[in-house]
Amino acid sequence: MTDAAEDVVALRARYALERFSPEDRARTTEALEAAGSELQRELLLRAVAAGNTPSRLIAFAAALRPLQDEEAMRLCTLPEREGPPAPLGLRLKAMADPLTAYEAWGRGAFARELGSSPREPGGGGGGPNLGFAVASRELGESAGDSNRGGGGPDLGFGISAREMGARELGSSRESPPPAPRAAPGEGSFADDLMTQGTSVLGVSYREEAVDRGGLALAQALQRAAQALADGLPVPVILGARPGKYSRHALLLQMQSSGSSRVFQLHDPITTETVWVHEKDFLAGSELPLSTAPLRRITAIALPVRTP
Amino acid sequence: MAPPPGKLPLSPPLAARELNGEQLLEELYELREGQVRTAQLAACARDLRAQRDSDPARLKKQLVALAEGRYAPQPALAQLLRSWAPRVNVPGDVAALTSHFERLALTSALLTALHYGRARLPGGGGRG
Repeated sequence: MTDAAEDVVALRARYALERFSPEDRARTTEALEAAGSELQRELLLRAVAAGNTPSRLIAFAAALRPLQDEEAMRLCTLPEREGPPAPLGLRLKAMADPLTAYEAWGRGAFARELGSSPREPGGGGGGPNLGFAVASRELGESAGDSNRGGGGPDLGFGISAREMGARELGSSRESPPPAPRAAPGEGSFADDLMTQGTSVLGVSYREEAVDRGGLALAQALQRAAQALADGLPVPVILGARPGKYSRHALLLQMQSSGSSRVFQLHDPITTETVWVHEKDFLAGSELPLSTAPLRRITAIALPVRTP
Repeated sequence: MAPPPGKLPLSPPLAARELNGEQLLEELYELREGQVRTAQLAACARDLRAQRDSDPARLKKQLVALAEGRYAPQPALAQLLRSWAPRVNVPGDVAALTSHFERLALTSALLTALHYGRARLPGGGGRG
């Protein structure tokens, strides 16, 4: 693509983002940032520029993430078919909007799952979606998807935690649908996502339930302390009691004095960062977080260095 | 990955209790505001890891070189690299800083993973 064409796509995407509510803009921007590759980001950017609604974009991003580039590219190009060619309108639309092409493969169920109105390829949306006018109209039709506050400064494609009203790093208030995963063990929810992000640094993670007959909390804390001393942050799941998996958090660092250890715990939802004594973890004391029922570490993701 | 800092003495900025806690989160926040992506941060951490056997003077130069070269297109990251250059003064600082950048990259990746993984928890991961 030429520089000029890139500029047009970027401008259209920015124009579309500016019309999202701050929250929708933040989560869409986050999806762009978290794209699995440059190609995926480009596909998503084009879908933004084409005026798709935030929920459709988030679902599209989630659908793309597990795909290799070649497969993503194939699925974002109209499928070849026997007989007469696809209607010209659909072909033009698919050229401008990878999401339209993706849906033409019959993979648009994610939009219905999210409760938005799936567009009929080549129809529904009012003709080829190639410009600002169509993008604006579609945004205008998606009142349930976006508050469209429109206020605030132009932040480009960066996440603005301030705009979201919280210093929440790596998160937004509404998550995209989770990608399917194969038969995780108890207490294992996101270690595949963790490893996907950290393998480039030679680290993988494996989540295990704590105090459910396998790993005991004391052992878990000992292994967490070793990992933290080795420079590796340790994700945990908090809950009211063993077997309850309520919220992810992150052990950032550990400090020891003699046999005494304290861990620094970060809750990415409330953005609280607190120090917790190991004895308080072991006693099941109420953690010094604003969410009182989170008393215990109920699962832990222990890191392993990979060659 | 660089080993964590050992028992060597550290300069005060790298011996700070919150270096890999509140300060790391603050730096990460600024990087996110500056539109620095996790992949870029990981690449930077790898570049610095290659310097883990350097002496402080050499690492200082490398920090500035990376800020003015490879990471110049990411001003927030370039600024962070530049800001650390004058604070690397004793041999122990080298491992401490390379480890800090690795933690930054890992934390960024993990927070993104936790965000996406949240929906897999019962109740969407947002409840108490």
